[in-house]
Amino acid sequence: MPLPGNHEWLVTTETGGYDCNGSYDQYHDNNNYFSIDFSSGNRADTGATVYNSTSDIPVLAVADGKIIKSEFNSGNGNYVIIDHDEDGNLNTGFSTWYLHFKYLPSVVVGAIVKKGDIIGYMGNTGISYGTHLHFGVRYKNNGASSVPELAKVIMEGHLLKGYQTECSLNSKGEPISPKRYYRSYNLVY
Amino acid sequence: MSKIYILLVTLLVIIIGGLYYYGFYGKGENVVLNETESSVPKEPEVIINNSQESLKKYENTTFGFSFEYPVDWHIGNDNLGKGTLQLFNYDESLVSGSVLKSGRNKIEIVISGTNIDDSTDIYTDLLQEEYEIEVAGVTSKKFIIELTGGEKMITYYIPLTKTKEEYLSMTMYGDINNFRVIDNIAGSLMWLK
Repeated sequence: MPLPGNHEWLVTTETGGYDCNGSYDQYHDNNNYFSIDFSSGNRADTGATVYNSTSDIPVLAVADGKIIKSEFNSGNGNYVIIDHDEDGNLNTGFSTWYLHFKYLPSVVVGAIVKKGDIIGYMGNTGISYGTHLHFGVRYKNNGASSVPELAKVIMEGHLLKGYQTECSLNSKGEPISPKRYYRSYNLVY
Repeated sequence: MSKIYILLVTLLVIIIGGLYYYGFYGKGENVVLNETESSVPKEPEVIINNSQESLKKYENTTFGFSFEYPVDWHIGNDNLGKGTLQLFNYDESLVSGSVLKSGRNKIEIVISGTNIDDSTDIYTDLLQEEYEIEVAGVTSKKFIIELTGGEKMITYYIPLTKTKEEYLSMTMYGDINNFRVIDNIAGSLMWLK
């Protein structure tokens, strides 16, 4: 998972773009179907830091690879793309996308990163209206639901499609706010 | 006795009836006109108050500029130089994700290089209009960007230096009904000596 271990992290938008209220976010569909939003909401193990929305929450590389993009633009905000076959070409192999960092990313294009390395901090830049991490996976630069290689990707024991949202309910049984957290087993950070 | 009673009631009815008639028709056309006016649906008005009391001032001595912004907005993160300067008209700590309710907006300011490349990939541009515009005495660019899905953004690129090696990039996101705020901010931009 792209977030620190010894924590559980709140998922607010699942693959395909829906949250637990049924609201649709188009930016998690089509070529970005295999993407998930993690909010700053977290539950920490005993002794671990509990982060809030203004904390510097580290964003971590989910696997080894080479930085192919590390910059700001008005849509993605501060963002990083890791090319996991390290050939410098997004059109081959897997890539992972990390958007809306708080600061300009500290990693530079061409740098080799290891799983668990800090590549930035969760933020609210670009088309983002509250602190969160948009995390996406593509194969041959394609993140569509039809890509069989992506349907098999497992992260921390869950298929990407398994990162689903769930709402707490009010007394009338109506959804209020997301409540499903997923554990990060990251051992490096 | 009963005749007097009936007379009094009749008189009362006539008086009340007269007042009632006057209330509806005595002012004639004015009343009708008012009813007609109020029945016409109106566009919700955005009240812009440009008095000094309704504006706050932001100054950045590192990059040498200042601007004014509405008092009901606030500065969020100010990481200009290593990140962004952000202004909000809502409590961003209560929100997550990339979907915003109407009436809410964010402005993001960054220092960018000479390469104005705003292709976004995930947030694909559908339409981009470009204008040349003078801001704080320097020739600048204004982009109106529409993304697939209909979301719009306005971005100003304002040269920070005469050599145009760095730009102040200001982008407004969210409810388009409030987009005049970024125009007002650009209009208030001043260079610090």
